[in-house]
Amino acid sequence: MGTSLLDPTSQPEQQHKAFAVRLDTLSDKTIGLLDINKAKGVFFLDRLEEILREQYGVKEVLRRTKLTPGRPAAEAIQHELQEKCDAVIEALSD
Amino acid sequence: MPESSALHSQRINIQEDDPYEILFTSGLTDGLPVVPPTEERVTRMLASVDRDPQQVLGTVGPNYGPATVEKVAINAVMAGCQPSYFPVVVAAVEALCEDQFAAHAINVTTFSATPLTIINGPVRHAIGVNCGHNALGHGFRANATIGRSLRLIILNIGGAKPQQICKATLGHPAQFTFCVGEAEEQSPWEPLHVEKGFQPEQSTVTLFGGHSPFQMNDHASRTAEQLALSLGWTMASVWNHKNFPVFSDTALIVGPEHAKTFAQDGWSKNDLRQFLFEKIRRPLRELRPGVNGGEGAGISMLAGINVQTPSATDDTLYAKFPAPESILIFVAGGTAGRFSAVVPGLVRGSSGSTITTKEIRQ
Repeated sequence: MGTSLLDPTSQPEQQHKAFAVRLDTLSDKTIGLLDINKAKGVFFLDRLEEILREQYGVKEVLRRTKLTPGRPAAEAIQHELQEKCDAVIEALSD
Repeated sequence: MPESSALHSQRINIQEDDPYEILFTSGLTDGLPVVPPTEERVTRMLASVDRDPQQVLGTVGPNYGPATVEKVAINAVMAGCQPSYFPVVVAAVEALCEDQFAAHAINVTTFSATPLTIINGPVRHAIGVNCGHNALGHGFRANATIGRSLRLIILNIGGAKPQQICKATLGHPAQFTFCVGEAEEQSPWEPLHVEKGFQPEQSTVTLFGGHSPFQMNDHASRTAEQLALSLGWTMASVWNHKNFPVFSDTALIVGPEHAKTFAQDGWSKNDLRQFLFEKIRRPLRELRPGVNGGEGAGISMLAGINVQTPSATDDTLYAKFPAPESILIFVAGGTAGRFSAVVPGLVRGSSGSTITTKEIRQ
């Protein structure tokens, strides 16, 4: 005789979300850079922006910063990045 | 799922395999065996509270999974709780889900934070919460399983799987369980929950987002001032000996013998806090990056505090503790032994975690 147990998880894995379509090229794209607001993250992102512009020819780099690293980005920022960017890089440093 | 069941969770149906092993391999445990959450056990747990099983107590970061009373009960069963502990677990989850507590940060950070659960009020005696010898240690089911429930909830509802989303650099043993009762009867001061505005006859849980405890020895100090300096300078090394001010709140767990020493000299909790704030200070010359270590002024900017202000000189003194109220004080432990303990906190304030207290409703 078997046993039946109750799933302790909030079952988020059931809400499968497809990955966004990968970009073939960064050229002429708008790339979002989300700084999670840890110390010195800005140095890393400055360099990343430089590389994106100089080596990959992106059209625009949209920089936004979370209010605090420990909480999700404000919904307004999430929506803006989603609407305006072809891809977003979330980055931190410490 | 039987149609008659009030429980909504999916079933994990196991035929011939060992349920203990299935729970391990499914990634649902903390690495120790858990009690298999059968419908019968979960139903018994739920019967101890007057709550709709589908009531959402809040969401648990980092995945922001909804903590329904039912899901909380399943995890409490797995942790080994008796049903009589469940109201405490429910209140602790309500605290965990408060935005100000910042469970998202606590559950993922490299800092290796974890909730320290402090229980106050009559419930301690009603369910056998240990407040005395071994208060932070092993051997007491209520402490062990209430603290463990929170960790399993963080794992299974919050989704903070170690090495995946939970990136604690080192972790520590208190991440298995970290729950203590205040030794109110041994304390010369008002208990923590009364300090927070509750009545003595109410029961509460207080969550502090902290690291592991460090025990401080002082068998020699016989005055409040001696002892405060002794403990304070030992506490001065939390985070880093150069982090003046430290970026966090700090919990000071005063052992009963030490508490007596403070009481003999008539010191209140606020006297102790104020003394530590005013006396545990170092001059800027000792805090500059490069002096006894690379940490120092630069990283203090993380907390919005630049110790290299234009007006500062080498002699300018900086306090270890950002404010008197940043020091959480309560009494716990056995009546023999002159020890106290310090628990460093995660970053405090709006960018970090705020100490959160909730009433336990029976």
